[in-house]
Amino acid sequence: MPELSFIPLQMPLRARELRAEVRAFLRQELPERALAERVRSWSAFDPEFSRKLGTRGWIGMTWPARYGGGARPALERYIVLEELLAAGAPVGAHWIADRQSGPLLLRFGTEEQKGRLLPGIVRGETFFCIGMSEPGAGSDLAALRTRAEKVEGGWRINGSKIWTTQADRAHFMIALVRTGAESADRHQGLSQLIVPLKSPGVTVRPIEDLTGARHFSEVFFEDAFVPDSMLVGGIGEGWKQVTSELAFERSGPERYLSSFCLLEAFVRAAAESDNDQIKCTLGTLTARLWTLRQMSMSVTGELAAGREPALEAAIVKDLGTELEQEIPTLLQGLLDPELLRRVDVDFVPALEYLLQVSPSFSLRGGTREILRTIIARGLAPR
Amino acid sequence: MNAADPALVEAVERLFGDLVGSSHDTPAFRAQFDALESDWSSVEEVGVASLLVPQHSGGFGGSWTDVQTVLRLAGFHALGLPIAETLLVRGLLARAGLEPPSGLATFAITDERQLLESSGAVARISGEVPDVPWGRAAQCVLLELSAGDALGRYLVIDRAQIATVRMGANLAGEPRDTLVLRDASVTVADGPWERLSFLGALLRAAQIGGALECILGLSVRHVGERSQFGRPLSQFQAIQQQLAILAEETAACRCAAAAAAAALDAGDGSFEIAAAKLRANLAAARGIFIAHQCHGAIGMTMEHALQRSTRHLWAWRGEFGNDRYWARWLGEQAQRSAAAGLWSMLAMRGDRGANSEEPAECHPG
Repeated sequence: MPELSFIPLQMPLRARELRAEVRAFLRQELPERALAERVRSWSAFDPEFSRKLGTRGWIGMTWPARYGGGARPALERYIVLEELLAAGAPVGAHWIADRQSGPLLLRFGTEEQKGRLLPGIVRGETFFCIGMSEPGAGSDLAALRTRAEKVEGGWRINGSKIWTTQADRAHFMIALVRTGAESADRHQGLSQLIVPLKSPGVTVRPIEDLTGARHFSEVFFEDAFVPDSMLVGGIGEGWKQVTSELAFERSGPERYLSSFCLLEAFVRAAAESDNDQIKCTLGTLTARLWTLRQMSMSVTGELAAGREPALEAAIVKDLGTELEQEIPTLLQGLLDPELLRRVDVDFVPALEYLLQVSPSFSLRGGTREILRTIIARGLAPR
Repeated sequence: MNAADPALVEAVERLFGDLVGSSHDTPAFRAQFDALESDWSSVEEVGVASLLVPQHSGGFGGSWTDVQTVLRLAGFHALGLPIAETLLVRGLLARAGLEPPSGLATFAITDERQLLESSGAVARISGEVPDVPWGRAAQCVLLELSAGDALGRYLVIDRAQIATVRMGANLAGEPRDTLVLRDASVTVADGPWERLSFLGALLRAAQIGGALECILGLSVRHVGERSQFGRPLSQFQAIQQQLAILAEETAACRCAAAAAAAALDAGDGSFEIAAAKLRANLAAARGIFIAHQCHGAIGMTMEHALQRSTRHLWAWRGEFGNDRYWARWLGEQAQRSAAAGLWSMLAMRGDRGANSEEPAECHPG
């Protein structure tokens, strides 16, 4: 059985200074940002804000300098990220590129691809989305059917992707496609291609979610062509690439901070309350949040050391999303007329938004049930 | 970041493994503890009872992180020995410049209004102190007289000053005795230490983490071996989902206890200890049920190993702060932080500034 040790990490020297820098930046760039906006967090798409962050050197922070990156330690990036999320900054435009598309290219991309694409990401100007899920392939990703056929000078893509966050506003999609023959092992014959979303043959159709927002889309490929230079790594390496991406995707502070702004606002309103139930609820949420932060930092340390903590990342994501979902639910359960008089004017719209989107927290980036299967498999001796 | 000395871990694992299953480890032992002597001498040999005593006073010179590591192992084995209590008392007294007691030691907290006192440099007290872990066997008792939120006072009571012991046990059969004091002469100690309610909570959080690891291991093994409907239980998704939750709770508890110990090593750990004990309490409750569910009826027998761990978990969950106790304390801390923002407590507390000391190697494991 694996160790599951989650050794706590100590914050780096100068953490206090860096954190203060980020907070000052946010006060200047996003003064008076409404709570109802802040709870949209990393779903909020703001190219202007992304560019400003890029100018400060806070995108691609850990990447090598020769691609424009800051070559900073992973824990410094962590500090910046958690400050942005805790403040509900609109980081959606560059989030995926920074979190996984860039690291994917760094690990598996050609020098040409890195040189061409990474600087734009670092500047906060080039945005990516992830093409994985399909109508027939959600949790069972290997069942995907979008094909890329080898043609002169490149690949011809036919098929469709769905639930692709920011596909209508990103520049590129990294699409997992079937390039090999159908075989008994469905993980074989998959590759990843960088697809410019304005290419002929690519149609993006936004889907309205239950809050009325259109953050994800269906994307159709009809004989869409991409040149050979858009293949990531080698042919048939798609599954391996995707698996290693998942540890990055699953363990960051966004996996437990989605409801944080709401909680902080509630605490301000409830600061004078004598009510035991309120105190105890806040205390319990505090303990769980603090623990998750320690665990998340620990996984960041493992990733930074070049390891692939898939089991630990899945654990953090599952516990984190459970907490994120419970926060709006519990807070709805605690409100009374007294508290309603004390909360921010848009507390209720913010709460209502989070309640409605909260079921998606345990669906996106790997469903709870799949994560738990992965965890259970990781426990058993093989 | 502190990492526990691997040589220590190895020695302690070996010692604890040997002690499990010895004669003291049965229900019959609860009434007598002659076997305790020989087991305790092996504990002394390894030096683990002097873990916190500074090296210049003849101890191991360990940190709170070392304590958490050792007690996690003790919790894993659900050892029936007052290792936690003894190492704490010896360490605290030594660090305060007092002679660390030899033999078993323990500690307790009582409301100062329970005891009658006379004043003077050498205090004399009368009254009863309930729920003292291993009170019957302790050579020395460190007693905190708490006075609400204000800093309490600390008394050191030698065994000879205890008039009577009324023996009792917690639900796991661990000795929890009432000490009767009649005009007992005690020494006042001026400890520069965290309150015993917090330190006790840290000890139990570490032990709970170890016990959860134990039941996780037992459960994984059991569902791998037990078959029904033609296949091992481990192949049923319902079981897999529950085991995953048990693993998550175990990991959360371990991490919280380790982080709290690290915070205490760095300075003030009160917030972190409170969060860790509460997190451990929550993890214990969830974990116990899953482990029993995985084991079926056989896990409900006295003969099976599972009950040793789950009954200790129930007991430790209730000691040094139940859910309500720490949730309320933490909630009030959150309320007090409202102006600066909840985030200031969750994140900024752990930060260091440019003028801090150079850190130890900042990498995991």
